[in-house]
Amino acid sequence: MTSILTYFPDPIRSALRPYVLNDTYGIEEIRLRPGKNVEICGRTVHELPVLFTESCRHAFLSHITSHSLYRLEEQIKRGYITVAGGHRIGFAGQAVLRNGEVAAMEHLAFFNIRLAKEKKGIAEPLARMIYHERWHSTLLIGPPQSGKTTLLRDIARLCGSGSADRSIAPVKTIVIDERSELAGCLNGVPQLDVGTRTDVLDACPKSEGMMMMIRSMSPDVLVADEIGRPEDTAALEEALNAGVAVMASVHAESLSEAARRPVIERIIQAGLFRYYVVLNRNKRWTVQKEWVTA
Amino acid sequence: MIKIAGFLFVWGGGTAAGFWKARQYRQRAEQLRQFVAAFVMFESMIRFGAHSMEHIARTIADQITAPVGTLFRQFADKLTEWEQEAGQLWVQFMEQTALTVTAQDRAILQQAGAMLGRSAKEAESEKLRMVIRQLEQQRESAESEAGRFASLAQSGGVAGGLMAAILFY
Repeated sequence: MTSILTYFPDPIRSALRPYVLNDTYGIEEIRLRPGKNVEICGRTVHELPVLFTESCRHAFLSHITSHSLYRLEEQIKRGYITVAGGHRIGFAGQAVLRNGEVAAMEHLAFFNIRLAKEKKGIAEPLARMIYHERWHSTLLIGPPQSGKTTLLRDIARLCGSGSADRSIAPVKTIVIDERSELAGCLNGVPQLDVGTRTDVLDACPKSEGMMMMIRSMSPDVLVADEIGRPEDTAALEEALNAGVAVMASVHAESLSEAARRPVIERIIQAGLFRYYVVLNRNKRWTVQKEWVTA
Repeated sequence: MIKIAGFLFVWGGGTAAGFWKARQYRQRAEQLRQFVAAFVMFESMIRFGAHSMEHIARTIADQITAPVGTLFRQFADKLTEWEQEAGQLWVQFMEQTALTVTAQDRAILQQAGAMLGRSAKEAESEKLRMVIRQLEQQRESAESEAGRFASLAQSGGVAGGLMAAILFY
């Protein structure tokens, strides 16, 4: 986690160091706003006695882009970039519209650094429920910061590496990491442990990526974060018809709230997932519903 | 004996000055040609690749000879530890590096650094293309000057040195 410190200019780096090294407050996010105090969010919100000045902003932006903003155009358009260590930096600035669509972002000024934290082993209790001789398709449902991605990452690790304690053999696992958040790839290489038999398709749209991987990489398990677009349904159907287990997540407070979204409702009604795991903001999960397919 | 030595010294000095001036004319043209080649590479690597500026600068340094290649290598080395904007570093390099270019050439080269690494691909590419166009014009004028004045400076140096030596003899 300390790798994130290298991206900050000196006054901020010094102020942050003790908090990051000791993981005080259980830091999840570091927020930077022009002319304002640096804020750290974890168990509580805490303001550091250091300002995010204009020169700090330029230095920070130069660091995170390696002085090469031009090569991150697509990521910037999406609103975030992933840096070494798998940390994700979201930002806001001035959107540049072309034909009514966001074509670029300029004057990036507000930053949210989400620290990637690996919590190896947190999926093991869940494995008892979703692994019976083979992995079964599971949908994780939870609000932001409920730990969906962390849990999904550990599921991928368990699928790809197996578990001798639980007699789970490693299987061919593919992570479709559209937002580079699960594996935290940097130049195509995962920065986080997603398993030994795991292949990662980085920065690719989920539905397209799932189709590509089913055809070319013969996966046993597909892992994808935050599904919900209409085209995801077709890709999920394709995967399940090919006998591939899918581990995915979706933003919602509960299964019923998720089902209010037409796409998720169709997915639930089609019985594409066998298990639904609902997470709350305290990062606790329950298997709320088991959909037994014929 | 001393008079002959003095004669040769004055003549040799004049000749050396002429050759030095002629070399400057040729070097300016050569350095501008190197900068044009470097920026053409820079622009195409930005446009068609996804490399960091440091990587691009190193690639250029590997393919362009000194002094411009060396300048790009030093720029890449310094960039890894540079805490401010890349443009500021480039301007600093342009001010500090010994080059045989004119003040106008140097101003154009500094322009290349303005906003370096802070713009989107298209803007960065457009800015570099403009710099390349301006440098091409400077290079053409430098080559024409070298063609016209380099030999003149050489023979002028030899003749001027000889004349001064005769006068002092």
